[in-house]
Amino acid sequence: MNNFNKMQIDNDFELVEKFVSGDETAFNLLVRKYQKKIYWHARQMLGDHHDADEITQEVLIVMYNKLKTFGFKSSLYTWIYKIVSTRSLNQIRRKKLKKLITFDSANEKELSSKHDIIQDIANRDKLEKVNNALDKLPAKQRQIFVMRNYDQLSYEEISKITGKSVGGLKANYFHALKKILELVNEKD
Amino acid sequence: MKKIDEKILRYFAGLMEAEEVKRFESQLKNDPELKERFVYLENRLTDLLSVHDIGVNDLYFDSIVPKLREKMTIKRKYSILKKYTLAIPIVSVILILFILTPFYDKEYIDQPVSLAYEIIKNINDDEIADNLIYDYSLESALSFSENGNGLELYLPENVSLSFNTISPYVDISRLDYTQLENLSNAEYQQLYKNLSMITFEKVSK
Repeated sequence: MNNFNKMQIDNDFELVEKFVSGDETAFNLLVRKYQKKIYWHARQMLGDHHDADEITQEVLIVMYNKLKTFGFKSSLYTWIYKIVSTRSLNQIRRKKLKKLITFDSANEKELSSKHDIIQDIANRDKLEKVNNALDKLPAKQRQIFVMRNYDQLSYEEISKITGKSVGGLKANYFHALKKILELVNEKD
Repeated sequence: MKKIDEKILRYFAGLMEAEEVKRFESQLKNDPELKERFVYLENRLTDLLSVHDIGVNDLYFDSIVPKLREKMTIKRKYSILKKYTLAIPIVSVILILFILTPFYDKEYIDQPVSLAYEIIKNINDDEIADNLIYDYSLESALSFSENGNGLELYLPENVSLSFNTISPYVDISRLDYTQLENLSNAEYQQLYKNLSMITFEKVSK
C-alpha cells in the first residue's frame, strides 16, 4: 500500500469516526471528497446527467445512513464504489424496462441536457457519442470498461467491488474493448 | 475484426501470459504493420477516454451538500409521517379491542351468573337433586379421588369441592363410588345448593 492510499484510509477512518460520534461536518467533508467520483462513475454508467444526479444523491444518503455500521472491513473507497456501481446497474435495468413501457425518452433527454453540468456543447456531444457506444454494451461490460478506463481502477480493485474473478474481468474487458472499437469504427 | 486487432486488444486487456507479453512486445518493435495498428487502436481508445477530463460547471458540486441536507430533512419528515400513518390504524385497533373487551367479559360472566340464579331460584331442590343425579348420570357427574387431604369430589363445570366442604352434608362412611345412590335426597339437595353457591361465586369472580 503506497503512502497516498494509507493517508487516504487514515483520513477516511478519522472522518467516519468523527461523523459516527456526531460531527456532521465530517460527513460534509466526506461528501466533498467523493462526490465527483460518485457522479462521474454514475454518469459514465448511465450517460445522462439527470440519472447520474439521482444516483449521486441516493448513494450519499445511503452513506449517511449506513456509515454508522460501516466497520472498515474494506476501504471506504471500495465500499462507496460498490454502492454506486450496484445502484447504477439497477438504474440501467430500470431504464431498459421503462423504455419498453414508454416511448417518450426524447422529452427526458431534452430536460436532462438543459440541466447538464457540461456547458460546452462540443464536449457534451463528444460525451454523448461515447455514451451511445457504451449504451450498446451489456451492463456488466460497461461497468468494467468504465471502472478500468475512467475510474482508473486495477483489476484487483474491480474484483473487490464486483466480487468477480480477475480472469473473468479481463475477459469481459476484452469483449467490451472489442465491441466499443467496432462500434466507433463503424460510425467512421 | 482483424486477427491482429484481437491480439492487440488481448494485450490491452491483460489477457496475455507473461511469456506471450514478452513475445508480443518484441514483435511490436520489429513489425511495422503491428506497430501501426497498435498506435491506431491506442489513439482511438485515448480519444474515447479523453471525455473524462472535460470541464464541468463546479457549481453543481458545490450545491450537492445543501441539496442533500434538504432532501434528508424532507425524508426524515416523511419517515415520521409514515410512522404515524402506521401508528394510527394500530392504535385504533387497540382502542377498539379495549372498548369491546369489557363487553365480552360482561357477556361471558352474565350468562353463567344468570344461569346460576336460574338454577338457584327457579328449580326446587328436589328437581336439582334429581336432575343432577339422573340427567348427568351420577357416575360421570360426580366422582371421588384421593389426594393429600383425603377424599375429593369432582363435579361438572370444573367445580371442585374438598372433602371438608361436603362432609357436613353427607355421611362420609357411605361416600364411595358404589354407594353414592345411598345418599338421601336431603343430602343431595344440600350438596347441590352448596355447589351452586360455589359455582356462583366462581363465576362472579
